[in-house]
Amino acid sequence: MSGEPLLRATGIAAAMDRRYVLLDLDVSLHPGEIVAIAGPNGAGKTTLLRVLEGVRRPERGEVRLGGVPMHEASAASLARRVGVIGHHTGLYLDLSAVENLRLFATLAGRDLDAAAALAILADVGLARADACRPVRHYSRGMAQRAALARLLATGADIWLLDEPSTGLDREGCALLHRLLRDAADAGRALCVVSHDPALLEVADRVLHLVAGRLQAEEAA
Amino acid sequence: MSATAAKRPTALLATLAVATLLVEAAIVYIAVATPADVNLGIVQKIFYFHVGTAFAMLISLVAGAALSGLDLVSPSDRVDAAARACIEVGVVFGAMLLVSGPLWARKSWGMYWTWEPRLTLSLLVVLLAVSVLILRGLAGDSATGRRVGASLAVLAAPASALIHLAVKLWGGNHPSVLQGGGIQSAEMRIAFWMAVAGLLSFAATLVAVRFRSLRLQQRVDALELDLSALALRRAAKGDA
Amino acid sequence: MSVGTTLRLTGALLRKDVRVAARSRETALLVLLFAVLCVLIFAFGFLREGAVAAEVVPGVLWVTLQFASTVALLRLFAAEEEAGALELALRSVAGPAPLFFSKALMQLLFSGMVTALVLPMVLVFFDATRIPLGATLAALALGLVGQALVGTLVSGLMVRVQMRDVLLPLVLYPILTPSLIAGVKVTAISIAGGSTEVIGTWLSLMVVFDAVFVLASPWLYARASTP
Repeated sequence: MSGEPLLRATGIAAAMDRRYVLLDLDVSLHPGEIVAIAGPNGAGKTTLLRVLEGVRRPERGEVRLGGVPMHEASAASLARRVGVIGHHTGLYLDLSAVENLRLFATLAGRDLDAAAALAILADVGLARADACRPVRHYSRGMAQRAALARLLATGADIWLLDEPSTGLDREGCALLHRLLRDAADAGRALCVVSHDPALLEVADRVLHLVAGRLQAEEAA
Repeated sequence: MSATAAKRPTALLATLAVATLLVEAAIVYIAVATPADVNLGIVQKIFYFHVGTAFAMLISLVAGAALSGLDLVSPSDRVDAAARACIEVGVVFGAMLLVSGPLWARKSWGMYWTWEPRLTLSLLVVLLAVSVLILRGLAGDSATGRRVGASLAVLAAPASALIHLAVKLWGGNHPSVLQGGGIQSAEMRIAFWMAVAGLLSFAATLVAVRFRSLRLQQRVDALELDLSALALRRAAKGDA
Repeated sequence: MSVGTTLRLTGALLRKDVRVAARSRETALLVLLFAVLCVLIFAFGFLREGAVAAEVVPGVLWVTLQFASTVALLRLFAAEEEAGALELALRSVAGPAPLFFSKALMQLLFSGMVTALVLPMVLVFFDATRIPLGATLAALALGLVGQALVGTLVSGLMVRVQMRDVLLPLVLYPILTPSLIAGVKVTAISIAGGSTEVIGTWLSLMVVFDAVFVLASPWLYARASTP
């Protein structure tokens, strides 16, 4: 892989309840690349993603964001560069998708007018009428699409996604795959935790996480 | 892996011995040498231990808040253990204070409780310290819980200073009932400082004991972690 | 990060909170209803035939406000918790400060609303409509600011702690005592027609209280919420 990684984690070990759930992990996310993390339930996939995200400080090891240790990185660069979709959609349920997008864009230091927000939402398949309704009334799949739109709206160049195909229909999955590919082609670095075999197909590399440790890496 | 045995707690035993000697000596001296108070009689002798207890509580809690602040700025397991030890001991002395205070007050002021500033402050400070400890217990051993507990311990410091100011102003409108219990002779002064020294060294011993046990617990936890790492590595090798 | 950015993001988050509160009015209604019930219960507890107004009005007013604000505080971060938006909102380009300040302002809005309802109610129910209010209003402004600053911090810290509904008042009330004592005193002294000098002392204590926590609270919040 050429070029400097956008995000590099080395020697990561994370513990929970006096037991390591992650051990001796090295993960690098390079621009233009989709890295998938697969593995059985309880293997530590979500914990790894949260370590990469910087909201969970590992017991050992270090995550570097563009060469700077994560916990020393400025709030501005974290907010601008790292985009996350976790188990929850992270959207305010009483706001519409447009309002959510504009709010999160502002928090990431960008200006996004309503027209631009609508355009992004149209890209993920949310029609104008839906985009202006409170997210509370969305189906899980629609909310997931809106969450994807949030990533686009904030302009993050590192995307960390936990089971992003949750709730998506076949068409939605196709859209997700296209979106991820486009993002990678635009020079972003992506890391996707998933069980979904179709999603693993899209990835450039698949890391198998078993009981907190990486098994042999395979190129997809 | 080398199993290093825990060091024999020589220093700890020495401080315990000093504390014991001082407290015993103070008790004997108070019983034998100090005169009864001219106004209050023998009850006044609670005073020697009461004030020392208050000092011990105050110093432990202030140290606990300061150490919590230090842990918040640059996290370290040692500092965290020290902060917790201090706050716990502070609460113990606070409880002693809140028991010995009313006993003395009943005899000297004629009632168990008055809203005298120092009493009010002690009560509120002890309540705060207890709630910090409860919070620490509920938030678990996670890094988040530790930071939340430390933040509240730090918050309690300026809060206590303000409470002190407020209850002093508040109490200022009441007739002062705090009379008696003053130091009236040289023997009383000697007894007073002996008791204070004894109680402070006793508090220091308790902090040290608690600190040691918390550190040992941290080491056990770390060993357990190492063990889990070993198990994970072995399992991975077995698979390969 | 510049003060301008922090202010702008605080504004954006506050607008969001106001919008959420306007759309799901349950929280506001619950808090107001709770405040009304509080005043009623105090009336049952303290109101007797004859004039007792001057003795109980300060206590009823300030204690009701403290209780009702606690209910609002327990719901303050509800919108964030509901959909897991807390970590996202904490991670703004200006760090956690905008979230803290927007929540404190939101709490101030809530408690201001409660005060607007509770104050006239107490005055009418306890037959105290003719008491002088100037000093009390000043004390209310200062007291609510202090309450919002400390309350937001404690509520924000406890988002992930079990049993926080019980624990929050346990931690909050001792810290708020200075502000509560000062508020009750100001109202009591002004009802009794006491000296403005003494009222001034109490008000300045409240100013000091607010000044300490306007600095300490956001700092501690940021410290506790960065990993």
